[in-house]
Amino acid sequence: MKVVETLPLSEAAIGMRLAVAVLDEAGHVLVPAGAELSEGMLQGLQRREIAEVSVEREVEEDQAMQAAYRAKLTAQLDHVFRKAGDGDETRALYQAVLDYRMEHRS
Amino acid sequence: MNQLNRDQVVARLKQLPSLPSAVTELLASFSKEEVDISQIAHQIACDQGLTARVLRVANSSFYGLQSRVGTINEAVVVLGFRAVRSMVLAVGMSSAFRPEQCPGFDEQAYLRHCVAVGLAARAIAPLAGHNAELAFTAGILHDIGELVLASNFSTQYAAVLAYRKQHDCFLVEAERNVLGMDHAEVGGLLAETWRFPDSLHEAVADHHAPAGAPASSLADLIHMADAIAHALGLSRQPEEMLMPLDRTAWNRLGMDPSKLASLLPQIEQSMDETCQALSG
Repeated sequence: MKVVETLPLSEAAIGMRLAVAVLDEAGHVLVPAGAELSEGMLQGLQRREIAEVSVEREVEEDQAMQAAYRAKLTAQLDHVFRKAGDGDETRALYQAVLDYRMEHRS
Repeated sequence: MNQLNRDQVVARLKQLPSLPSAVTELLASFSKEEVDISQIAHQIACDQGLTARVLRVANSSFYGLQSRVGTINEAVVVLGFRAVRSMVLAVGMSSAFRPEQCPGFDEQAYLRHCVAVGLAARAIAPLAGHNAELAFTAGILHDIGELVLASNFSTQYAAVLAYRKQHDCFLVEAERNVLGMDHAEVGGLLAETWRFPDSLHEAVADHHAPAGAPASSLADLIHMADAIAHALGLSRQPEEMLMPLDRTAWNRLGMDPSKLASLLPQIEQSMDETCQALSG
């Protein structure tokens, strides 16, 4: 399972994948989301005094935690879909969002 | 006492301050065979606020440029006229309204929802044979009728929002019950007043009833994008609610579960940054 972690820049390492783009004060992108951090990027971010970055990390998860997360997600989706009916298309969207959220949890 | 009628809304729309000249020119460009791009770029550049916001969007990761663009001309060269036109329309029109005097209207949630629909529409467009930039603009503008109502009929619209909260119903139901009109109809009237091209007009007016719009219109696409944005809960409103998906729209778009699965990651990735670029 992928999780997103926010780390002080000093703890970010080469090869980590950015979960969220790093922006400068004007909102310009310094490093886009999804980029794999290189030595040059880390040096550039240090020069610009970026304090922290959000990176993706793969972690093992036990089944109980997974079931609890699924139950929480289902409750959220049931709330948003509370008046959407049970048409095939609507249920397909429900399932797609549930699968997506289970795969990309933060 | 809160009921509105079409003539009343049209009369108010005609009193709106005129759009920036660059925005008017760009709207007119949809129906012109030849467009003087350099003249329009110059007009945009003369409007500093518009230029700053367009460049902020152009330089966001949404477009993934390797180097920054510093002028409207550069943006046209690097991103193309259609992309810049979409950005100017999205930025220029949404900022023509001031809904802050309407109690209960959550501007941040509105922006987040519209950006989510724009990003979803942009992701769906290639699958359905539509232009991605026009789809993005249609997504940003699809609920502009809400802005018209919240900024021009703020007391009545506050009653709509209170009704919706009290009855936990769809916004269009609350609008029809309180005002006798809904935001899609009002958006359609704005589209007529400001002479939107047909594709944008249909996206705004028909996104809640896409089956009645032509198959070639953007209404199906915006209907689908609207549903996806709600399903992802991207407006962060506690009362967020999805309407049933229209089967005709689903079928005409050729949608299926695997296509849906491929779309979802594209939407959230650019969400925060695009909201930031389009706000303020």
